[in-house]
Amino acid sequence: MILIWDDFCSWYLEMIKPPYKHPVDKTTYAKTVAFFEDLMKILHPFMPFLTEEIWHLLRDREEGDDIIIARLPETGPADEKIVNAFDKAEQVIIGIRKIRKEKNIPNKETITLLLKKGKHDESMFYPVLEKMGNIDKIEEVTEKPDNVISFIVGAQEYYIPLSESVNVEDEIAKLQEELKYTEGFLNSVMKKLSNERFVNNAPEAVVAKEKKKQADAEARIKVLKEQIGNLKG
Amino acid sequence: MDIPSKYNPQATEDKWYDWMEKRYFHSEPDEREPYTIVIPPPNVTGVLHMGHMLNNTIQDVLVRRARMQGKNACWVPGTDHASIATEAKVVAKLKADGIDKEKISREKFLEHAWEWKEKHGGIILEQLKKLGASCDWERTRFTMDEALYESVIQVFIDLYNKGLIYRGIRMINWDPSAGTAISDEEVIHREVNSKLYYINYQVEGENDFITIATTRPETILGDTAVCVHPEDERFKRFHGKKVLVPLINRPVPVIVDKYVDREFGTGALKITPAHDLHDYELGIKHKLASIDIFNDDGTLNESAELYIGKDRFAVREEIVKDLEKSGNLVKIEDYLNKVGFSERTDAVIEPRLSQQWFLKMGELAKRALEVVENGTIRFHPPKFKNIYRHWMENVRDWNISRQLWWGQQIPVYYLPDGNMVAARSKEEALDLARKKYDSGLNLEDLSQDEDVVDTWFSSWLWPITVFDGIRYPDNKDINYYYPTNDLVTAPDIIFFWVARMIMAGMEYRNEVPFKNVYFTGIVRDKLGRKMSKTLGNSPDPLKLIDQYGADGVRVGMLLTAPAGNDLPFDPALCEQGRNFSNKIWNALRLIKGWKIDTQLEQPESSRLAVEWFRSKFNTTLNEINDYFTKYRLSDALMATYKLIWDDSDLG
Repeated sequence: MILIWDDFCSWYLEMIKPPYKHPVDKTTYAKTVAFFEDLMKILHPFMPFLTEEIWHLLRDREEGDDIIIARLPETGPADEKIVNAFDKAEQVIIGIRKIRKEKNIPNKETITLLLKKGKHDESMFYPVLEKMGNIDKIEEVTEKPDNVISFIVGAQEYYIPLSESVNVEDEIAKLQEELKYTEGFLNSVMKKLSNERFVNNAPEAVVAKEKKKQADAEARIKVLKEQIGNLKG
Repeated sequence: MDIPSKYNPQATEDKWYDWMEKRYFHSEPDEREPYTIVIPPPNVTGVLHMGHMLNNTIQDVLVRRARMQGKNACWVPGTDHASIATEAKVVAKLKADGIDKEKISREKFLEHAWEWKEKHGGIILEQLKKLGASCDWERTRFTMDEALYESVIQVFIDLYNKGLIYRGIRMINWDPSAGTAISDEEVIHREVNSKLYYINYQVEGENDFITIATTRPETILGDTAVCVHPEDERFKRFHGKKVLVPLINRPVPVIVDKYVDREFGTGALKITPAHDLHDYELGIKHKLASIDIFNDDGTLNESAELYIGKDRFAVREEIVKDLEKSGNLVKIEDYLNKVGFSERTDAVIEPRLSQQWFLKMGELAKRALEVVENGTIRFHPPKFKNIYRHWMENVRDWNISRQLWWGQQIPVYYLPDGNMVAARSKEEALDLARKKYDSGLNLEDLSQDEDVVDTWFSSWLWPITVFDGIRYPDNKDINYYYPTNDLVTAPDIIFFWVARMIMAGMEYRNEVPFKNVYFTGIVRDKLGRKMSKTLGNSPDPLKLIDQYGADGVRVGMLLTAPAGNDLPFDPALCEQGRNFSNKIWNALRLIKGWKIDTQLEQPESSRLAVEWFRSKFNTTLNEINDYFTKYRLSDALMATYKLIWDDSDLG
């Protein structure tokens, strides 16, 4: 499943939020206020009153320093690699949280994240993963270890070792359900790609995106089948 | 700092409109690049409806953005005197007070009208302030302000002297309810369920009949011929004969013309040159008499011979009964046809011969079409270009005179011998008349035309007159602010207003009045029905603002308003806007709740987060800027919204 859900209020603030009752460092605080200001500026034409109020509550201002006459932010460089890597990191966090919920692992309890050797674009964000997932360490492995619960992002496998043993039957059922879903998803993508009108008329980037979805889904189906095979031993 | 736990839009909105006191909305020419919008002036006695809300929210977004880009932003507000609508309201008010318009003088009536304007005028501008509209209120204009009034008169005289304005008897659209002629564009054609009446006309001196079909049996009293197709075998025996108009037995000729559609009705047509455009043209061609059977209010006059003083629709019922009694009625069929209604009063339009003033459209329309075709003016969305082209290529001369008092009085003065002069004042007219016609003339010999000009004949100058560019064509303001940048308007006034402003701009500035026209959608209810008082499905904008805050309503309107498409408005969208405010408020409270430790080093995870968000922000900002250049405001808002808070259902 591909989710894009990266925003200021839900993601960014959570990433930089200091632990409960702990202070925040001044660099992060200053950057955060600056981001907030920029966001209020681009929102101002749409929501003039709220943004002016926030502008003045964010920090003390000189007389006449009002958002209505502030300059809109200029666009700066955007590093696509960072944005894409973060998208991936985000999926991993969502994966971890899903498992915590399913297995009743409290957020307070640290876990270890193992990942299969391979191309991990999100590696630059490991410190963020550790914070958001409450992970004590992240380690690469070459084979799937025993007694772990696994999840997949893109075509990569991730494992979380469990203290108690896993119910093999449940695990197989879950994997099979996911396999069924992914196959259905692949099917719908293929349908789109076999539609000549779509392929000929849609912008190249859109078609490329669909092709990427196809490749991802195919890789994932392969991994899922392997996992099911392994569990069945 | 103590931040309240809940965001209070009312308190905030009252507080911040002091932007105005700080004169942030005011603009004066300077060295910066100007960004100018003129408001589509609402009726001076109107109140805010959802269409205004949408339209003005869009303008405010554009103006505020330009201001924040460092441009010298100027949004000129104002109101329109709205001749027909306002005069109707004043007449009704006087009637309620027991005063009859016919019994008082023009001067007295205008006093009442101005009084009404002072009392009810401008409410709508106060309402716009509640929405947050950042207009330059110091520049507020009214189409009857002295400067604007004088400009209209000056333009009339100029066009008259150029030979572009002429007076003539033409078939016009008469609105019997408003008691005035209206332009072709002010007639709304609707399909209605009518009846088609088959009526026998006896051949003079013979016991033979010709059967015609008509939807308007009451007009047979004005018939002056019956017409058939020359090659129609069924009627050849009638060629050259006369038939008798039923009930009044007036003999009229049977004429032949290829104009007749043999498939329609019986193939024989009654011809009433005074009350049908096509009949009028046939009348001229065949030199037929023209008998006008209607009074100004739609009742029958003495020329009708029967039913004198009765209303046209009452007469329709009566005459059908009488025709049945006399044996002339053959049959009645159900029939679907198009009928013209007045845009203002919804009265059924009566085509009628009348002496009116017209403005020649030919050259004006040609230039106005050219600048849209060659992209000097761009329409958003571009589909409106086709509609515009079609109208411009088929435009007829513009009837600019109205039989009303509230408006700019036509500056033409008649001499006793029927000659006329156009002038700013009676004194000037006298000078002119003495030079041109008769040096012995006196003031008393001159009488001014009683009519006023069409309201659109003043608002077509709006982008120029708000800067006084007709009277002073080289003044600082007009040179700086004109041409304006963007016009935001509803699509239903593309001909009334948009096209004519372009004509006036080309004629008087030799330059387009604006570079972009953003056509908004029509606000409908969530079931897609047009909002109307009778349906009761039009929410009160001020109540919505009370409930959700102005910001919430603005967001609610814009989230579903792609240019040119109809907007199915659902108040739930305003709720989404309000929730968004609350989310931002909570983020503020979170951040302001943190203690700062200046000794603390930045954690790596925070450093990465900052780096990520900077890239994310810049990527999205590029997207937003791109949407703005394409006038995709809804998309720009959606992208901004999602960057701040993505509350989409993740499934």
